[in-house]
Amino acid sequence: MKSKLKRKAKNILLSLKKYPSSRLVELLSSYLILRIILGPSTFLIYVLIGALFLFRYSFEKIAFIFIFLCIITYLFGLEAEANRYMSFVYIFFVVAVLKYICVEILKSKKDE
Amino acid sequence: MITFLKKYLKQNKINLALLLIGFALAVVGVWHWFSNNSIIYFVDSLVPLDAKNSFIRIFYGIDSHTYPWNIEANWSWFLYWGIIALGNKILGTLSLSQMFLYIFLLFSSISGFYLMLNYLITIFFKEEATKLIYKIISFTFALFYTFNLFTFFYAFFMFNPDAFLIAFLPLNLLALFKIFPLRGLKKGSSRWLIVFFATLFLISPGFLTYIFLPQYLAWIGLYLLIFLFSSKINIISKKFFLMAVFSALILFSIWWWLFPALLALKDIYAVQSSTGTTLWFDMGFEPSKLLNSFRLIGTPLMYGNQFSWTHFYIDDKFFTFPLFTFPILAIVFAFSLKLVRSKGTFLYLLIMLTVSLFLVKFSNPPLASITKFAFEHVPFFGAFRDSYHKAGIYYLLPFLLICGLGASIAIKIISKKKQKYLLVLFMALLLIVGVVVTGPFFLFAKDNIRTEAFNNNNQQHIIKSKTQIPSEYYELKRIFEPECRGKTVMVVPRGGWVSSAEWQKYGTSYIGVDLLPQLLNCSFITTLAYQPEAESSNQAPYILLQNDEHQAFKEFLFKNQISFVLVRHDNVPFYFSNYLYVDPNTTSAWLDQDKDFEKKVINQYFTIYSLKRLDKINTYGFGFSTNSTYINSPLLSSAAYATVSKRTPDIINPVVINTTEDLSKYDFTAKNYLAIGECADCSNKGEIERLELGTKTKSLNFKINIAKSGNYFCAANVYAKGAKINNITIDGKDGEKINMDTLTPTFFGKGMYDARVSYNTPVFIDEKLLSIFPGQVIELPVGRDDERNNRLSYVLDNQSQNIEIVFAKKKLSQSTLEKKSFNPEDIVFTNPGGISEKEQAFSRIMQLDELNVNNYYIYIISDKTGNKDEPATIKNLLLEKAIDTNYVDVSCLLNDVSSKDFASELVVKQISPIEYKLKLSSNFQEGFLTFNKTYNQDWQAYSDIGNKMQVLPHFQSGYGNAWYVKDPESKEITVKFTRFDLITKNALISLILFLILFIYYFKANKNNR
Repeated sequence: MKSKLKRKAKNILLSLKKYPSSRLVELLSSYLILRIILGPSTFLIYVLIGALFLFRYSFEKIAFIFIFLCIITYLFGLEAEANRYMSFVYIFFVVAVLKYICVEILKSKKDE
Repeated sequence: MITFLKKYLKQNKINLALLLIGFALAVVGVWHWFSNNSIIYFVDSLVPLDAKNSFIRIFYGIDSHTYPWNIEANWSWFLYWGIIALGNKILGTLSLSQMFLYIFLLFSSISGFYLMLNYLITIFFKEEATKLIYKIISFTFALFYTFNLFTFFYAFFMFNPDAFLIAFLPLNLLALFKIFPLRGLKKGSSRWLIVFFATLFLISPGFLTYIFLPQYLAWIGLYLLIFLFSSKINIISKKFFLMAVFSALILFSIWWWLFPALLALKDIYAVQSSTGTTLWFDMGFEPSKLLNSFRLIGTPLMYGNQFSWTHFYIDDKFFTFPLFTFPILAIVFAFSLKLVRSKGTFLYLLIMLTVSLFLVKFSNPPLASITKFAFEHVPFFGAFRDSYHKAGIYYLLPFLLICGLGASIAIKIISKKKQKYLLVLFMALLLIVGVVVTGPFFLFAKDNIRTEAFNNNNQQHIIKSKTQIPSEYYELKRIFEPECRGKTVMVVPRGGWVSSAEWQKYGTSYIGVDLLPQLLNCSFITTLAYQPEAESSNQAPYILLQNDEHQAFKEFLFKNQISFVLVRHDNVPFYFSNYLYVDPNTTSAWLDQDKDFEKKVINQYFTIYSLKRLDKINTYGFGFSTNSTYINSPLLSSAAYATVSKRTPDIINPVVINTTEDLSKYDFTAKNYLAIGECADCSNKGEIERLELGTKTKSLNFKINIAKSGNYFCAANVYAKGAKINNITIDGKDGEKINMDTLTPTFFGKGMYDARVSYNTPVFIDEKLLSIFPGQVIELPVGRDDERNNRLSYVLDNQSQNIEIVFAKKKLSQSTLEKKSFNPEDIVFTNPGGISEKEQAFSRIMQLDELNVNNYYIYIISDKTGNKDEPATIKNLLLEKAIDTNYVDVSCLLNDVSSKDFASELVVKQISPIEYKLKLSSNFQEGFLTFNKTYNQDWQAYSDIGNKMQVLPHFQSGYGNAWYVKDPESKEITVKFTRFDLITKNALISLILFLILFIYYFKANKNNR
């Protein structure tokens, strides 16, 4: 039973990994529609981040997505919201750097 | 040689052509700032205007009147001084030498960054990097790095030595990368070692903002750590030892100037953080938010120094829109980093960028709580208060390097697609970004000279940062400098944090660090001293002048050895450049009449008045007297120094003892006891509260601590023009109230006494009762009130009407009053009072613009809607001058015994500004040697007796120094600022150690290759 569930979860994760990048448009469109309906919401941003994690987007790609959101809101004159997205750009940029550092350290240990 | 040169030129023709364009752009960028033989001189930018005078100030670390420590400059400035001084000597003009410096720095910045980015592109793309397009990208980003908003505001529009750091940091880091290449990279030749230390020396003037240095050391240290771990160097190995030697070399290469700076660091930090370090963080700075700083905009200076184009960067969304290219390119780079094998150097730059950007964003999200914690708990972290500036340099360099790499990657991706139009589009985008980023230097070159507009007596004046020093200043230097030697000069009007002048006949002006102490090697009490006690003392004569206390003013000059009053006629009063304004014309008119002064007109701009009593005294601030006065006050206010001057014996440098410890040592010399009352009502009050308190009751309670029983003469002062003391009452021991008569002594036993000082203030309007009916307007002409601080109070009884009180800058028209449509520029304030069943009392402190005096009016306006039979009443309407409690004091003096003054018999020889040889009078037996420069324990006096050195006991007298001398075996005394010996020895040892280690390291490094 346990191994069945494990396999199932693995399959879901694998299918998510194969999720076509064109679907990103759908995801972002859904986010923007929800954003228009619900207004600026931190919860909604976290949901978006969760979805992007789930679809296995790299940190750099997530940073790209947030810069896209930042530019859109900036053009609509929503500076405070644009700044919030830029904060996420910065966070994911930092996380991407940290990931590289970790990988380098692990690689160096492996070489030893 | 020629063949080698030809070969070199052929091989590097693209590099040379690009750098030539860079040089041309540097010239074009700054040319118009220096045309017509002008210089750029603005606010706190220091320019070594006079080579000799500037050298003295930097070398000895002195300020004009405040010893020790010139907080404006330290030894790290020698290079800056040298370039300007040498340029001035060779080129013959200050203008050309400043322009040469600007071009040198701009060109160094372009070439350093260009080489650095070229190197990074090479290690990223390997052989492909030789392509022309990548060189163009490197050059484009080198231009962005050199000409941008940050460098414009923080380095060039008013010169800041940060420019040295900006110019040489890229080459310095490149040299480090070459000396210690991370895994997989090729080591550079030994010449990079010379480049590293040469650029470190060239950076040194930039470290005047001390916080840049710990950051620099931290980033260099981090790189060496990465190198250490990635190269897997054994701790017990020659390589590790060499790294330690390299670190020691870095330390020795800066230690020669850092050591003296560290000795003064505590004082400097205390001054600079006097407003509190967390206060800045709590205030926050929204423009540093990531939306701005991740796009290279939002410098705090941009908000304080507005140009006609600043709004493009602050408000215009579309103008700055292309700058989104920067964060996109940074992410492109991060995305592509996985393709590179040797990531170390790039990860290092990314760490540098992310950490510095975190500091730059200051109190803005995300995770601002970390920065807040650091501000509150990490020692000296308050130095990051203007973080855009303080961490900005270390964010600007890696950011633009990473963006440059991102652009190169983008080009590579586009090239692969083989669609030329995309490449053209991308280059066009970079061009647009370039236009926006370099805007202050090129696009908006027509208006990039800073101007400051202000009003004086309702006439507009404009001061420009592009200026020329008039010949009158050099004439003053030529005539007055030999005369002022050994004497002190006070300047009227006094400068503020900076000083200013308007030279109409030349069509030029300046606002900046006071020109006089910069040009003349004289001791001035002009600009703010940054030392609370010396500053208060410097302020005192101006208070006396402002208060028309001419006799007390002359006594102050005599007692403090201020031989000259230099009246400037080129100053137009302005808040930023005047402190405690005294009108030069009024002062001149009075000094012209006074026979105690001798007048000397130098030229149209300067008149010198010398105090005849001090004609023969030129002892560099030294005095010699027999007795002392004990004062139970810390002497921290200018009023206290004015009072001390009034109540101490009429001798040069009267000795003041103001600690019980010093009293216990020298009580046998204390012939006078001065008890200065401490205001009992005034603790920790802000200015407005002090003015309200000082004016409302017109009386203040004091505590007087009598240190010795005896017959005391008590007196009070109120340092405000027109205000007068009414009476002084002191509660005796038996509870009786004693009305003090200033001429009759009263016996007081040792102990604490309560005192009350009452006074009156000048009244401008005093209406006991006014009645007003609905629809009526009462006009009360105030006249030209030139007082800054005023208090308006009244009691309003308006049971059926709305009453509005208006304080107007001019007579208002009937229609304006009826419509109540006031132009904000015409009124000081309005106070609409709603209907009330009870009487309402109003009191308001008004700070009027004393430099733009108006013909004021008070209007009382009643609403038309009220009951026509029932008038409203205004009782006790009073407009009076407001008194600051800081300027009221009471003091009691025991035994006015004069002291024997030997100052006129003193022979002083100045060896240097920090060393003097004194010869005492042969009549002298016992007493005090005084020196009226800021007290510091490192001032040491000793007499040489053969091989023995007799060090004299030293203590603080007022803000200055005093030594007790008794039967000296030798009548010759040396006074020295002893710390300086330590500083010179340290510099010498650092230099020798650096040279030895450098030669060793250079050889060892060569062998190691």
